[in-house]
Amino acid sequence: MAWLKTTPLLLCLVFLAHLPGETFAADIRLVLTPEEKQWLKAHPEIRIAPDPDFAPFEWFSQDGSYMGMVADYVQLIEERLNIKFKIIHARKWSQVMEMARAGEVDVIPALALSPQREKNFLFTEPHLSAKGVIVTSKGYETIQQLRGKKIAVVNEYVWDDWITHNEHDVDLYRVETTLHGLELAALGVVDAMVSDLASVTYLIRENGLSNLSVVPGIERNLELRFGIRNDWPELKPIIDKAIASLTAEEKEAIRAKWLYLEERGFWRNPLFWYSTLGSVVLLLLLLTGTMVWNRMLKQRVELRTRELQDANVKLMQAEKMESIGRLAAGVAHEVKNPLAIIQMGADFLSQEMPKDETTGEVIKDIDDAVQRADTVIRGLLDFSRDKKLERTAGSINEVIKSSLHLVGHEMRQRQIEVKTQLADDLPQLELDASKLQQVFINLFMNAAHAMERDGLLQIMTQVKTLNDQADLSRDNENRFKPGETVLWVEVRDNGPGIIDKDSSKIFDPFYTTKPVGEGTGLGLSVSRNIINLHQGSIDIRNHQEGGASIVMMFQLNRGET
Amino acid sequence: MKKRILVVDDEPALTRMVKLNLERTGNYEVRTENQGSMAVQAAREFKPDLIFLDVMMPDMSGDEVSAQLKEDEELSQIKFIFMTAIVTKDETESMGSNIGGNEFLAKPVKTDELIATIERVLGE
Repeated sequence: MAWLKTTPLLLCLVFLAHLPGETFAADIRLVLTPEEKQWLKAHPEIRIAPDPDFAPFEWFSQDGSYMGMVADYVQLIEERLNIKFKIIHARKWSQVMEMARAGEVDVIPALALSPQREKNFLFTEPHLSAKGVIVTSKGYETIQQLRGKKIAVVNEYVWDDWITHNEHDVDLYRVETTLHGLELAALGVVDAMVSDLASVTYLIRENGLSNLSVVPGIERNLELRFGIRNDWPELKPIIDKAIASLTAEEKEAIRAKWLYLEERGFWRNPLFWYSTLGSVVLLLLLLTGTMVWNRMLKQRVELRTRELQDANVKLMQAEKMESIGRLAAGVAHEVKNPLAIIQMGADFLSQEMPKDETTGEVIKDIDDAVQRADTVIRGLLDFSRDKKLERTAGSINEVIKSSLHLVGHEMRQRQIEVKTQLADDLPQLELDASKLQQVFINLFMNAAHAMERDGLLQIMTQVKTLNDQADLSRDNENRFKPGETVLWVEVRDNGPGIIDKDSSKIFDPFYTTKPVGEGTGLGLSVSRNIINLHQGSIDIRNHQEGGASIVMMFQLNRGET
Repeated sequence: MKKRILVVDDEPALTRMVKLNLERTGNYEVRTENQGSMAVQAAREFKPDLIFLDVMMPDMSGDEVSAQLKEDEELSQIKFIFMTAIVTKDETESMGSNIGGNEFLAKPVKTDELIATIERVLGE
């Protein structure tokens, strides 16, 4: 069931659905019979009584002018018949009916046909029609739902007749005007009003009634005809001919004039508002979607940027520590030897010089100065060397994965393929993930620098029992016993490998094969320190199939495995 | 009988200071050598009870010197004290099998400490 709230569009569609459509010759006098013409001449005064308050069909304005669609029809008919009706100004519709019954009125220009009225009137063909509607503020949709309810109708309107004769169970509440009935319905004094769509729509719009629903719950249409006093049968065919002579254009002009078709404007069309609302909702959805998408993209970019910055900071940090380490080691070597000479020289002189107070003080001052300088050098060395680990139980595979992630950009840029073969049953190690990450980043970057084209970096982890002599030989520091089970990590590249001469010195501080400025030579030495602090071993040598192979071994937590 | 001590370091001034300080006690006979590669030959000739050995030398490291000496059965019983400038004792543990486990002194070292260490190593 479609609910209609003050629906001008529907009004346009259903209103005046049954207008006679034929177009007659413009001059009706041509088709009037001589008898009809004669009859008109004999009756110069024909009194017609419009409904004083039945907009938009007919009504009297403030100054008493006869207005509305029916008024225009009446005027056209006057022109066709070349007559002038006498307009009777009644105060209200029931008075019109009373006057008609009393013989004071000859024609009622807008009268709906009903069996009762047929006793008193002759009816022409209909000239206007409108749908019957229920108007309510309480949500009723059918006439059946109104049984036992209080229904307003205009006194003696066709709806009064129709309900009285068809629906006996309702509590009829008769009002004098449609507007009054609508106001009562809006206030809830009555449960509903039954009227026609045209007047209801017109009045609701003109009077700004807002809470009323208009539903087409009435089977019956309102059809307006000319009602003619029943003792004037001659007049009926005359008016019928006049009505039939009206052209479609004339009828359309009347409709347009009173139903504000032209003025109504597209914004009064609910379809316009529904589609506007729909478009706005769609736009908002699109906008929201775009914003959400943008936001997600932005977050991803930010995340990736943070990761890259993080990787960069770590690499820089590692390089910085290398530089400091290099500086510290260089300074230590160059300063500690002279300090040793000064120290021993002072020791010697203290024995050779006379044992007086001043000499003793000078010697002590030299001793103190040497110690002070030595403390500074020690501090610098301690700072640059990773001497302490922050160990927690962790997975070496995770450390490898995170390190690979951090150098991923570099690998892609150098078009290096990375293959991992990480055993998933590895026991946890007590490890310093950050320091080990530094080691792996260093190893991966060294490998990347060594490989030129079609680089392949392989990383393998496994639990291995050291039975094989070849395996044992990779523990170059004799940390592990034959038959011992270790966590084995191998990093392989397919670069040129290391020159044999280098292999024994490769872990020495300052050893580097890179051009000056590209590497400090402390990377592997720092790496070995970190591995050693984990009680592990690290070995690098050339693989028989080419490229370099680095093997690290870590002690398993025997209690846990 | 004076103990024989061979001092090997690439710093001539330092080897001279060690020699002076040790010999003035009257307990030691000291020979110095400033090249690692000459240390083995010097040891064969001098037959020291103890070698005082710098870890980092340009031509041959202390680690390599001790490795060569251990290969020679006649010299393999010689005791060592390593001395270096760039690492601290903790770190020497990881430096190499020939250094790790031996007595170690970080430069600069006071003469009293040096003599105490020599006495301890020779007494073992």
